[in-house]
Amino acid sequence: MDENEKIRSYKDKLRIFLILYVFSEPHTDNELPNVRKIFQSEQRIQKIDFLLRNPDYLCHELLEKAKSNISLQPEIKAIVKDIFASKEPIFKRLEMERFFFGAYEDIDDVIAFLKGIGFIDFSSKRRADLKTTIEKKYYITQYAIDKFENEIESLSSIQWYLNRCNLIKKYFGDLSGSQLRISQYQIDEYKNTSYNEYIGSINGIVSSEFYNLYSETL
Amino acid sequence: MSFDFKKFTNDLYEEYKESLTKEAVDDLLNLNDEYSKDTPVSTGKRLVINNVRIIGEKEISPNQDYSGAKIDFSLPFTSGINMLIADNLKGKSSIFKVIKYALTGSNSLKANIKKWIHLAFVNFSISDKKYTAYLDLSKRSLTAYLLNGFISSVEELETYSEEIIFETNSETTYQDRMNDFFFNQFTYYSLKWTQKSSQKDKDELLEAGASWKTYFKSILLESKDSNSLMYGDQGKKVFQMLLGIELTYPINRLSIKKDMLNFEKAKEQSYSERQKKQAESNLLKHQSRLKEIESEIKEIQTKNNEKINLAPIYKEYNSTLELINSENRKAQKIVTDRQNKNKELNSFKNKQETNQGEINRLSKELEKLIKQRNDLKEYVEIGVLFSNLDIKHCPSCNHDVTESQKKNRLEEHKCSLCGDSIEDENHEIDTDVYDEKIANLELSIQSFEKEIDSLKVQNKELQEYYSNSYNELIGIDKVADTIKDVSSISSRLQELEEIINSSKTEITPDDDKKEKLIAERAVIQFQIIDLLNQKPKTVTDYETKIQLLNSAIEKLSEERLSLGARVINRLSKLMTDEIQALGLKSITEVKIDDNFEVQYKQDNDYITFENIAEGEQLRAKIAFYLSLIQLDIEFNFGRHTRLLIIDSPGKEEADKKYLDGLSQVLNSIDSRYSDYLQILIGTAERQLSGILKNQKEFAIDEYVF
Repeated sequence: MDENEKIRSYKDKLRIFLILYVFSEPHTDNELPNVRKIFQSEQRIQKIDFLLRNPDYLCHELLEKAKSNISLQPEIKAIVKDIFASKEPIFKRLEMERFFFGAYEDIDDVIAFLKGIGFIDFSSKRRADLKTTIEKKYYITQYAIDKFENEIESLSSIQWYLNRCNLIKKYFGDLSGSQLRISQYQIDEYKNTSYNEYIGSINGIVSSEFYNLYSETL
Repeated sequence: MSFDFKKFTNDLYEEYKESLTKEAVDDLLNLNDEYSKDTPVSTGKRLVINNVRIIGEKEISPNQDYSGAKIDFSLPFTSGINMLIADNLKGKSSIFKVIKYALTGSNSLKANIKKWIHLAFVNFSISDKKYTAYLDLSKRSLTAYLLNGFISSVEELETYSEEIIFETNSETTYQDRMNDFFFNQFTYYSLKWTQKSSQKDKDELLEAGASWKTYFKSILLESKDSNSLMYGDQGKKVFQMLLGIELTYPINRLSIKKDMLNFEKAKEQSYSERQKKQAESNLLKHQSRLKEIESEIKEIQTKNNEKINLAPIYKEYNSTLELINSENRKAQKIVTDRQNKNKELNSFKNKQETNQGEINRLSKELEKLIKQRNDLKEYVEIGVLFSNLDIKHCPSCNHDVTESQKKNRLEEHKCSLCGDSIEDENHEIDTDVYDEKIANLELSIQSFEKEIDSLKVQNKELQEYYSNSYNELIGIDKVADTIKDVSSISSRLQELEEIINSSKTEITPDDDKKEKLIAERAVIQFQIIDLLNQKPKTVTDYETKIQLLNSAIEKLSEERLSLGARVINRLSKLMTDEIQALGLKSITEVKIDDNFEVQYKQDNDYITFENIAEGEQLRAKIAFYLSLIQLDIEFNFGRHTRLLIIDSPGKEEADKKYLDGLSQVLNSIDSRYSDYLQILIGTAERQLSGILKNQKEFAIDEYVF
C-alpha cells in the first residue's frame, strides 16, 4: 500500500465518519445500547461526500440556491468567494468515480473499518418490494463520540472538514440523497461523465455563474 | 627660223610682271612649241584633175526630153586651162560640183541631179601621184573610196581593190578622211576662229576651224561668191594658210585665246553685273527680313514676359516635392519605428507568455506539492490517530476482539482480525519520515513559489517594458499624426505639375519659333556681311590676260609682217601686175595689211574688194588667185594647190572689154604656166570659144551629160 493509497484510504475513513457524525440525528435504540446517533441511507453519504470532495460543485449548488433565494445571496457570495480564494477546488478536490446512481464509490470497506474500531454500527434491510434498494442505517457509538470529542475535534486539520460538513448541513442538510442527485444531474459536466471516469472540474461554469449573479469575478 | 620664243615670253612677262606671274604668262602663250609650225616655203605640190566620169540615169519625167536617159559621161582634163563651154543649166556647174564632192565629200549638187548620178569617178593627181575618188551614190548613204591610180569603172575597182587607200560609208567620214588626206598632202592645218554657239540658249563661244572643205573655196570659185574676194573671215584664214607666213599659227591660236577670254570676260561682266544687281536686291531682301525677324523676336520676348513666371512655380514644385519626400521619409521612419516597437512589444509579450506558461506550469506543480503537503500534514495529524485506533470487533461477525487476542496477534505479527501475517508490513506510521517529507515538500514549495514570484516579477518588469514600448509606440503614432497629409500636398504637386506642363506646351512653340528666328537672323546677318564685303569680281584678271594676248599678238603680227614682208610684197606686186593685166588700170597698187586685208589703191584711196566696181570684181578675184599661184610657181612661196575651177566667170561682167581682157589673161596664163597649173573654166560665153587649145564646147541646148 503506497503512501497515496494510504492517505486516500485514511481520508475516506475520516470523511465518511464525519459525514455520519455531523449529519446523524440523536438516536436511542434498546437493541443497540451503545449507539447514540443515527444516519440514514448510503446514497445520502455518497451525495454529501460528493459535495465535500468537489468544492466547485458545492459552489455551484450554493449559487443555485442563491439564485432562488435572494436573502441567501450575500452569505453564499462570501462563502463561494472564500472557497475559491483558498483554492479549494484545487487543493480540496478529490476525484471519485461515478457509479450507477451518480457519484458513487464503494464505501463498504470504510463502513467495515469504522465498525471494526467501534465507531459505528449499521443495519441494512431490504425494502418491502425486495428489489435492489437496500435501506441502510448507520449508528454512531458513544465510544466514537467520546473519542471524537476528546481526541479528534480539536485537531487543526479536522476543522475544515467540520466547517464544511456544517456548511453543507446548513444549506443542504434537509435534502435526501435522491434530491441531491437530481441537483447534481443538472450539471452537464457531471451528466456527461461516463462510467468509471473522473468527474471534471466545473470551475469555469461556477465562475461565470458567480459573475452573472454578483457581477464580480471570482 | 628667227623667232625666239623665249625672248618673246620673257619680254611680255617683263611687261606684265606686276599683274601676272611668269607661269601665267607662259601658260597663256604656250602653244606646245608650235610657234614654228608655219613656213611660207612651198611644198612644190600641185593638184590636177585628170578625168571625171559620171554613170547614172536621168529622172523619168514625161515633159523633159532627157526623161529616163542613161548617163555615162566622161570628161578628161589636162594641165593648163581647160575651157568648158555650154549653155547655162546644161550641167557645167554639176561637173564642177561632182569634182568638189569627190575631193571634199561636201555635196552641193542640186537634189534632183544628185539622184541621176549613180557613180562618179574623179581621177586626180598630186604632183605625179595618181588617185581616184570614187563615189557610189546609188544607195541612200554615200559609199566612197580613195584609191591609188586611175580607175573609172566598178569592174576596175574590183581589179584594183588592193589600191584602195580608204573606203567610207558615210559622207562625214569621207569628209574627215579627205580632209586629213589633203591636209597631209599640202601641209595645211586648221586655222581657227571663234563663233557663237548656234544654240541660242547656250552662252558659249565655240572654236571653229578651217577644213579642207574651207580651203577648197580657194580652188572652186563659184559664181555666187563673185562679189567677195574671200569668203568672209574664213576667207582670210584661207588666205593666211595659202600664204603660210611664219607665226600665222601662233597668232591664230592666241587670237582664239583672246577671243575666248574676251567672251569669258564679257560673260563674267554681265554675270557680275547681274550678280551685283542680285546682291543688291538680296541685300534689301535680307535687310527687310532681318527687320521682320527682329520685331518677331521682340514680340515673342514680350509675349514670354507676359506669360506666367514659372520660376516661383518651379520653386514651389521643388519645395513641395521636397516636403512630400521628407514627409514620406518621416512616414517611412515611423513605419520602421512602429515595426520595431511592435517587434519589441511582441517579444515582451512572448516572453511574458512564456513566463506565464512557466508560472502556470510551476503553479500546477506547486498546487500538487501543496496538496501533497497538506495531505501529508493531515495524515500525520489525523491519519496516525485513525490508524492507531484499536480494532474492537469484527465488522463481519460483530464479535469483540479481545485485548489478549490483539496482543497475541501483535506478537505473532498477525492481523488481529483476519490473522494474516503482517510481519513484512510496517503498520506503524513513522511520523518522522512524514515530517521529513513534509519539510522537503515545504522546501520545494518555497523554491517553486520563489521561482514563480521571480517569474511574476519578470513579467511585471516585462509589463513595464511593454508599457513603455507601448507608450513609445503611442508617441510614434503621435509623430505620425504630425506628418502632413501627403495626399493634399500631392494634389498640390499635381496642380503645380499641370501648371508647368500647360505653360510648357504654351511656351514651347514660341520658343521653337524664337530659336528658328535667332538662327535665321544669324544666317541673314552673315549673308548681309558677306554681301557687303563682296567685291564685285573684277575683270582685271581677264583684262590683263587679254592685254597680254593683245600685246603678244601685236608683237607676233609685227614679227610676222617683218618675216612675211618679202612674200607679201611679192604677192602685192604680182597682184598689182595681174589686176592691171586684166584691164583694171585704175588700180595702181595692191596692198596687204597686217590683218591680211587686201587693199586696192584707186585714185589714191585704198579700198577693199567689196568697194571695187561690180564689173571689175571678178578680174580682181582671179588676179588674186592667179597671183597666189604665181607666187608659188615663181618664188616657191605659199601653198596653193595650183588648181582653179572658175564657174561662169563672165556672167555679170559680160562686156566686150572684159571678155577680151579675160581672153588675153587666160591666153597669157596658159602660155606661161600651162605646165604648172590647171584651171577649169566653165562658161556659157561662146565668145570665149576658140581662144584656148583645151576646150570642150557643147552645142547650143546640148546637155553636158
